[in-house]
Amino acid sequence: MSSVITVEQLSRSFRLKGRNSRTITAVDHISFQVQQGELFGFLGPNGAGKSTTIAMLTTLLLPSSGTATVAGFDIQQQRDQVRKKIGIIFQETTLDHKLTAYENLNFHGVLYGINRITRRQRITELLAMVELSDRAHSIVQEFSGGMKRRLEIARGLLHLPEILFLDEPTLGLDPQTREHIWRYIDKIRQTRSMTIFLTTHYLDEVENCNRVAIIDGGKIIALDQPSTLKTRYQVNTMNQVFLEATGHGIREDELL
Amino acid sequence: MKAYLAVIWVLWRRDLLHYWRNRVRAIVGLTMPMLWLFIFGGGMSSSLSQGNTSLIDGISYVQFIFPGVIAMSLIFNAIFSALDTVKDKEFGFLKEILVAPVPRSTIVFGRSLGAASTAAIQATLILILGPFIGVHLTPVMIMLLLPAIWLVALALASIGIVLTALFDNQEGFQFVVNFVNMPMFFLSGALFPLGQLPSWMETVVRLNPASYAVDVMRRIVLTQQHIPLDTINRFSFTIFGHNVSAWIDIIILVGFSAVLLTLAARLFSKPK
Repeated sequence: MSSVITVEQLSRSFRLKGRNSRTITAVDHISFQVQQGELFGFLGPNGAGKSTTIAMLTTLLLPSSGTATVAGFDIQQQRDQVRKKIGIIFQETTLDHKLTAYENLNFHGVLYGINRITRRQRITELLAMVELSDRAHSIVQEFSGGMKRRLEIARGLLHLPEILFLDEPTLGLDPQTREHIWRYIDKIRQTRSMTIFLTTHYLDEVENCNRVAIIDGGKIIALDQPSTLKTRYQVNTMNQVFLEATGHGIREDELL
Repeated sequence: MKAYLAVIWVLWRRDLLHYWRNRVRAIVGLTMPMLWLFIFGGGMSSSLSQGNTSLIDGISYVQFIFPGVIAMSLIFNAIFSALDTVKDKEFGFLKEILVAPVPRSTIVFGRSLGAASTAAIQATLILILGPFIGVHLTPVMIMLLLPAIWLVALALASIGIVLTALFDNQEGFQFVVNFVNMPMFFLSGALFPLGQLPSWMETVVRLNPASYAVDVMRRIVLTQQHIPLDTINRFSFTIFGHNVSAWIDIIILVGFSAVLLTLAARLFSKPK
């Protein structure tokens, strides 16, 4: 297996403005690799550097130092090539609520330069996959949280990315919807052998990950298979692993 | 290049879809111009014409402000529709565009064309009110006004898009827009002739892009109403000792749009 994400000594610091002006390091010289086809869990308490890392890997933020390649392309020098190869489901909804489901997908297709015929065909397929075919021409504003998430998953897949970033994809959804969402994700993995980079606070969701990294204080403090991690911390669940690794104190919110 | 234009097109289309889905707002948007024309304009016209002194050589006050009210609508709508981009930033949709393999400048051009188009449509609707206040609309006048309205809309939309590059939340944006819009409107010649202004005020008028917007539209409307050029020039202002003309207005508006759009494209392209 070859690695599709290679992170080397990646760092990012921010200058806080105002009275308490100082520089804080959100991500501190982290290095790791994600293998082709892997379901890779990326965990961390709030403020640990998770979102900053994702923002860098998805080209939304430049690193302060260090390098990373995604799908073989440099995240600083070859941003557009990286962008073509990745699909992203953001933590918060990034749909246009005034457009229909179909229009949202079509917009995405044009952004990624997919021709009209292919676009129409894939949109129909993906809407069927996320069971939204009958709502294709409804305005997104009328959708429930779960429906919006399903639509975003369809959208993230429209341009056939090699790597899918799922940033807390099931946040705020009920257990039924979460189960549904995971069924789609499993299906995607089986049919497309896609690499998935997942962050979540629902730690039962990472039990099935191939490997899990835990970031805290801007550094990777654990990286291994769930079973190995459970053995190492002598616990039974990933939830316990997480608490053992990162402590029980409550964290402040992340910068990004 | 084809892909670049496709992205601009799809962004532009998105703005028009938003406008169309909210067309009640388009009708409601006509109430402000109607207030200015029928209430303010009508009231001023009758009080100014008392004593049989026609203020402005054969033109009623309300006819005088008609192009100004069109410009007002453009100032408010074109700049304000940039608020949509600020909302996109705030509510995340902009991220969908930012992670796509397209140049950031497409956002600037797509959105400013969208903002300009919807503002231009809105302003064009005001023309319907013309006949009610004695402005005789001729086909030639409409043919000349439509591109002028569009150019003015683009120039003003480019102000909006520069502001969106600078603000991440609606509060900050709205505060600045309100701060910019009203002085722009009052100092544009929309409501009073600019011929006899104190010199500090005339300087501000010259620096105000909206002055050229009002001027070009007023020149079209009044010329087509067969008002002599001398009279029209008395309503207008001078730069470097020369009367401005419709061509000068157009050149300045085109130049202004080009500079601001380039600036906005740069601001949007700067990586974080």
